[in-house]
Amino acid sequence: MHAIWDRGPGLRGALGTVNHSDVGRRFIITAFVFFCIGRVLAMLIRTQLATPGSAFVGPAIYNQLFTMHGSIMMFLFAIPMIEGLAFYMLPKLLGARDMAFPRLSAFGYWCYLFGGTILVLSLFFGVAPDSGWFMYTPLSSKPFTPGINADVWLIGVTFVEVSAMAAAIEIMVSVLKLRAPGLRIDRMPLFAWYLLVTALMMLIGFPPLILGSILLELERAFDWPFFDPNRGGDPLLWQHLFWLFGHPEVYIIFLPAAGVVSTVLPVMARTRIIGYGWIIAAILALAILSFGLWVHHMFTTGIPHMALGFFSAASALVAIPTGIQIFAWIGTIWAGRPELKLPMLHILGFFVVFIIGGLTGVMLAMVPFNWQAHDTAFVTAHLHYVLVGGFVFPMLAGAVYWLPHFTGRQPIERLGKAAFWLIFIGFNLTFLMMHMVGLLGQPRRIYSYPEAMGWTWYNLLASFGSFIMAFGFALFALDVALQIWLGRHTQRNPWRAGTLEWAMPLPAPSYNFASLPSVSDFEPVTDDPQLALKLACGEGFLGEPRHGWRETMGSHMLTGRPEYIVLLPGNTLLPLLTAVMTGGFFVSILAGVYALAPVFLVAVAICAWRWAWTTTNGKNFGLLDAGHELALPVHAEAPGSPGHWGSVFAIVADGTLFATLVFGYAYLWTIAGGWPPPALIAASPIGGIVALAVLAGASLAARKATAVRATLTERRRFLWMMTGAQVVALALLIHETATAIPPPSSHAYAATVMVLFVYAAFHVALALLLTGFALARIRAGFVSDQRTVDVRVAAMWHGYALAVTAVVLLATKVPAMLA
Amino acid sequence: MSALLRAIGGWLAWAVGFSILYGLHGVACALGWPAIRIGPVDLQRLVLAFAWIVSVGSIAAWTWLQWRAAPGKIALLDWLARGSAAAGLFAMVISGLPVVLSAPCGTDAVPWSRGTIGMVGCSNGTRCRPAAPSATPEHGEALAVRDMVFPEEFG
Amino acid sequence: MLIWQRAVVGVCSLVALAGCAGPLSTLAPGGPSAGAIANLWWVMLAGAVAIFGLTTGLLGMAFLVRNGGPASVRLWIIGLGIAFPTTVLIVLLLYGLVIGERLQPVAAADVVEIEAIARQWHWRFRPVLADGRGQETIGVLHIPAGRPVDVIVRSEDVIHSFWVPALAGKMDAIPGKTNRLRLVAAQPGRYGGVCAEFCGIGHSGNRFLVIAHDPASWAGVLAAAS
Repeated sequence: MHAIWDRGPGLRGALGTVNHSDVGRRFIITAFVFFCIGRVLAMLIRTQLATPGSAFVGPAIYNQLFTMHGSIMMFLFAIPMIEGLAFYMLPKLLGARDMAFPRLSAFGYWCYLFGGTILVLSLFFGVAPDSGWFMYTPLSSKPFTPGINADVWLIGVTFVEVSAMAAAIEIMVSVLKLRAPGLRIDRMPLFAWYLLVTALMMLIGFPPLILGSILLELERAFDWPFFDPNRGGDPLLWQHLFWLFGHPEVYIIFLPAAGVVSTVLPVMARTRIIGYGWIIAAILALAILSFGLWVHHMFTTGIPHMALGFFSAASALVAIPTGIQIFAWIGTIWAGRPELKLPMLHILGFFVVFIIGGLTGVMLAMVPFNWQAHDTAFVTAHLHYVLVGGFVFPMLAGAVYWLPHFTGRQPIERLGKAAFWLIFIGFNLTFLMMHMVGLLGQPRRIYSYPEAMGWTWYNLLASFGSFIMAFGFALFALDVALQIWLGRHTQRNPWRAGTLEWAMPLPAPSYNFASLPSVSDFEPVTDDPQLALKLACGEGFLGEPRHGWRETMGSHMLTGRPEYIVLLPGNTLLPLLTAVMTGGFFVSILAGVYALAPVFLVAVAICAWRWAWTTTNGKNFGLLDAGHELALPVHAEAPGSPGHWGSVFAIVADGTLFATLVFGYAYLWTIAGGWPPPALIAASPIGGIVALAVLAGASLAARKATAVRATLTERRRFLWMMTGAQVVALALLIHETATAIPPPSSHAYAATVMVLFVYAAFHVALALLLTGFALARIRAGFVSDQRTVDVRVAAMWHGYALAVTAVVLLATKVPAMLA
Repeated sequence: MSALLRAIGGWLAWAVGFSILYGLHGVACALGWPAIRIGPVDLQRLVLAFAWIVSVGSIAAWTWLQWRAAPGKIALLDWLARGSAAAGLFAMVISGLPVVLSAPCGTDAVPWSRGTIGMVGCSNGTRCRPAAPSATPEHGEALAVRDMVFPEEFG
Repeated sequence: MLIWQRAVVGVCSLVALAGCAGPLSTLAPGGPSAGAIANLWWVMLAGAVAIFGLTTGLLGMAFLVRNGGPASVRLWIIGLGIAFPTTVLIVLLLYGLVIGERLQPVAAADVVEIEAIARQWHWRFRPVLADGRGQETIGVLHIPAGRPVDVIVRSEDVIHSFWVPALAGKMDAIPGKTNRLRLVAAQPGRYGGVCAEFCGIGHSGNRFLVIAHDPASWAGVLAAAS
């Protein structure tokens, strides 16, 4: 079993591994390295601010320091750390052997590593981003940031976001489909619920930022004036797009950490958590409410008071689900027999720091107070209380809790406690002072201040605290290192926890479970302390390796009834190759060699083709033995396979991006100055009507091609009809793009319409590619009556292309015809 | 999947209602609806209040349906559907409050016109109201930082 | 409110010189707008301290009590988790919305309009007169004391933010937009102003001075302007 699931030997093995434990560990370690870099930047910032009129670094360097500190901590530390923990832990908690798309995890890691490296390298060349981590236009636009700095941010962060989107899709599908037999959704470990909700939020939260980055890069590279007020653009559009991502981002970071608390705290209190259903209700509420808060970052932009009121109300409401969780946790401790072990200590640190952060958050949600406190050190202090309290402390708790799982060794309590106290004291010293100095009027992002302001002592103490905190983190790293090399071997379940990740030998084997458990309650390990031994002896499901396949169970979304055996792909260099080509695309844009970008895009498409081609081996296996007299098909021969759901969630994310684009178009039309634009798109609707008509006709063909009873010949015929329609529609859209739209640099209208048409054309081309892929699979004999997923995916994306084309044509042609 | 969507149905409905309120508000300001009087109120407030009531009503109907719905496969998901419907209803009531409490459009929407000092017209959008509360002497006496070291040390 | 406010001011003066005062302090209000917001802050601070004490107290007692009995969902979740924050938040929300509404720049007979134009990295100020007269000043904003002043905030390049902490909250200066901020200086005096939104390499030094004049002196300013 180990031979099947382990990475191969040598460098090739290291580069080609797709195993979730390998990828998860890599994410975690890389994120910690970036965290250390971010901490060093923070200490440089605090050194500069320690005394008035300091000449340690000039403003040019200082601006890069705080921009990079924020960007690194948000994009290169927090989100990847969550991805790493999810990749490592989720399959183990759910009783599976890997994530749903192992190659996608590996691809995500390489994208993250390359994108992060681009960002950090820029620091050494002195061209790091310097417009603040939220990159407000027009400061980040070409006239005010002529250098490459802003491009580094837009390209590097978008590259990293690719991995976040991949992780989101993967977590959704893994939680919903890859659970152990019998693991009903209402008995799922809370951590899995938290990650499910987080992934959903990432799916909807990240596309606005990706869209904003694309638009800003288009403005910087080609002078398309989305944010230029002189040509119908609006700088506030950037703020809307950024915070539409940026606020949910806070909860995307907080929720997994809260999941750690909900997992670790009951174990430390030696009881079960109270209000399981209430907590799920609370996080679902948070997930949606947090998308209605973004304007509270924009209370001082002159938006009318009534609109501010809507967002102020939503910002106040969002504190209620957080309150539910806090009191559920405290009640759990009351109900149990709490032990003040090291993980619990970090959780107590979390309570103190996070509650303060939550209280200042409610203060900032009040519009009038926000007018004073906004953009001051008070806000900086608040967000650190929320993020360090709501993320770093729970993660430290999780780290000391799960380290035995990673290393198979016992923690060293004393060193860990010293590290905690240094971090806790240092943190509070730093950021309590920053609350004070913010109320005394110190704005964010100033590099120097005169003595007369009366901020000197606060800043000096804050800087002092920052260094104490740094010692604490160093001690934590030392503690981990000592544990890895010197710690004593631990027993199998050191905390006497009840969840499935402890039902395996430590450190965890590459395949997690020699056979998969059958789950009937919340805490399978508590119910059956011998579960780990039984599974190791092969008493569970899928215990017999066959053909060297990587097998895990696919089960019903709600009931956990086994539905199919998932055959997972083995180690391959394909993810690395695809990530390198993706990197080539981004770097050629960064370097301004735009001619090379399409070449790399084609290379990515070729890699993706190869990737999809090697997903299944195209044979029919019929029903296979899964153990316990259960006979199941492989996933490719069953409806609702992971690939199907992955495609559905990708469309959800893509649709969010498109919806945001349409919002931007409507926003500019109603709010920005300089509208209506001087020239509209050519009003003639004929080309558009023809394109829509053929695409709509082809969607009927798509329905027939995916029909259950269709023969292969019929499927092929209908797919060819789709291809024809897509070619015609694509040609018409390209013709429209080339002839009907005014020059994009003339006005934000023309630029936005151009992006809308390119978006529609791109998706028709994508549908064409997928339809061609399905045809090639039929020709190769990989499609059968049972194996139709290629055809279904092509049909799905065809439908999406039809929908977006219809919206684009309506939104652009109707106003032109009315004018 | 539909059972999962139903479990957040109330919140999704809130999101739709919230978006409609915010979107309508922006359109109304752009089109100058606050200047159009209809009886005691203006067109904007009328439309927004209507949208608010319709949103609340729709979510209330959805909530009623959820409480009457036949049980599904997983009791927890049914309970979540009822809970999220009720919570979404409550959130819709609260987040619509500014419709009756707040000034509709900022001065941002009002074209700025040059006037004489002390003569600010009640142009479209702003309501004519009595002057802002007059200054209270307490503040200044106690704490105004007078004759601060300006601007040499300060600037 | 005034008694409460006086008490707070008293506490502040007692705390120390370094307590609430300072050229840019939000807690040393010089006018009713900043005063109302400072009150809101003190109310919220008191509430926050109480809530923090309650939650951490419950947390600490959990370790002392060690009763190990079943926990009541009704008490912990419905009572403390839902009813308690909901009540507090609705009251606070209404308070905040009402104060925010009062600070809006509504039309009034004696309002003075002054244009504030931001650029990298200084502020220009110009009183708005009917015939286009008006002496432009750089880095110094002259206002009358005791009268509402509307600052018309604009920008010529990137986003800045106009902020005089002693007089009112801040208002962003956004290219392509015109924003309006109402402030009142209760007493003649000098108040510190600063650009609050990060605006590039000269952000830290982008400060200005506000001089509030008594009626006689304000007449002089106007005369000099014309």
